[in-house]
Amino acid sequence: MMSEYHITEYGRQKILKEVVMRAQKLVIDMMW
Amino acid sequence: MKPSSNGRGKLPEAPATPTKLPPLPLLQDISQYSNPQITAVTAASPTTTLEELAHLVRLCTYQERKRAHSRLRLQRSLVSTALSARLARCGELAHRTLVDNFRADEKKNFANLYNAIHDVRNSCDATRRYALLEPDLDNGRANPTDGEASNVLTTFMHEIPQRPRESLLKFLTQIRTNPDYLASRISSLTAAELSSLTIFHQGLEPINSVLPFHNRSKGHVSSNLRISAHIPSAVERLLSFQRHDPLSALIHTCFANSAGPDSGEDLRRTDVWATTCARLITDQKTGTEQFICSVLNVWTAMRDWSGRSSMEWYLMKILEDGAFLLEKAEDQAGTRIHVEPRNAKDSIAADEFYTAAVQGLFEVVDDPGAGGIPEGLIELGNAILRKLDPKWHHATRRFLISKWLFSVFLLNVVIHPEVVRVYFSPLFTADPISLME
Repeated sequence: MMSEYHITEYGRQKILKEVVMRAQKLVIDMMW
Repeated sequence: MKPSSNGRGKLPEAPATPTKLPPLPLLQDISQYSNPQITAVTAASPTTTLEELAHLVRLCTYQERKRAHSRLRLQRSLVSTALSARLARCGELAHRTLVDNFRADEKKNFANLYNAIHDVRNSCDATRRYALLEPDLDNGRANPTDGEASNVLTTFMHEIPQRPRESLLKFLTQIRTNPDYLASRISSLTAAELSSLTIFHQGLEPINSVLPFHNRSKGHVSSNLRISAHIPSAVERLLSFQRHDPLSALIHTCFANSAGPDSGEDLRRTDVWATTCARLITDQKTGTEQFICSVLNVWTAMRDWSGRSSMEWYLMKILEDGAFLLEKAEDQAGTRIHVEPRNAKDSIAADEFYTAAVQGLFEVVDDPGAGGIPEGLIELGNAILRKLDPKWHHATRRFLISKWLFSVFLLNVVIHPEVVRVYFSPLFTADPISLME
């Protein structure tokens, strides 16, 4: 998936990781 | 039924008694031994000629040979498809390790694994070319009397002495048909033993952070495991073809190749592993979470994830929409050069973007039409819940969603989408039987 695109490491951290970590936090806050 | 000694023509003269049944032909159902056309011919004539009998005997012999031949081909096809599936799984794991090596800048490890993959590929290609030169099963038989011997598929099982073979078959039967058997044995393992069962699947768990990845230790597995067990290298993992991987052996090798979640074999496998996971949950043993996560990872890889394309679209959209976050901090190569302090306007824009992106992620996951939640999780998760007492349901659902789905699966998919499910069919297209035997 997305193997034809180059995602910079900083972009990964600043966008992808930040988004999924925020989603993860919401889920954990709701369920625990 | 004993035939009457009076012969066919004298039957009506025999005294009719209530206990005497009418005589039946020796072969009551000749449809198994002949085709309908021949049956019609014989049924039309009151007697069977010697020529017809000879024809039936020849036909019977031919069909017996044909049946044995078809059976052999079927067995070989089953072995071939199972090995192809195994090669595809090995290729998937190797691809993931290649991505890890690339990101960690581990050039030597990358090169070693890359060369090993191409060695395997070349071996498969050579096997395929060689197989084309081999005579077909039909043509290779010079003498019809050799048919019996050549129609038997011999495997390593036939080389094992009878008693160990019976023990092995009994063991396999227990694993396959008695869910409590595997569950009781897995649940009796210590934490270290449980961890060593998943040794081939460790180091492949998602990476929680991006940049610190470069500082991870080689092999990146837990330190207690590193002391207790030999950690196979990526090349060893590939060339092992899952023969030394206990978890894969228990999930894949002990069962036939998957024919879909609704097939009898897959239902049996799911029942066995749901029972095992449920037992571990109720026993609350140390290491249970990691073990069940590994099992769920295997299940997810075994099943399709139809949400892949919508997730890909979603990721491209947030990368595009969030590009403004990177504009002031990256050079052309994507290296972070400096970060200017944000003003209030930038902060508001960033927060709005993140809120919308998180909302979008939930929409992707919560889209049953697009299959946002992996089928493997739904299948095995529901099976585990059915095995559990209701008092465990809430905690188990919480574990499956917050721990596995959001902290393992989605974390990996969103941060490292390149690692997700690729198809290696072009790589391993050759018949791999001789490679594995």
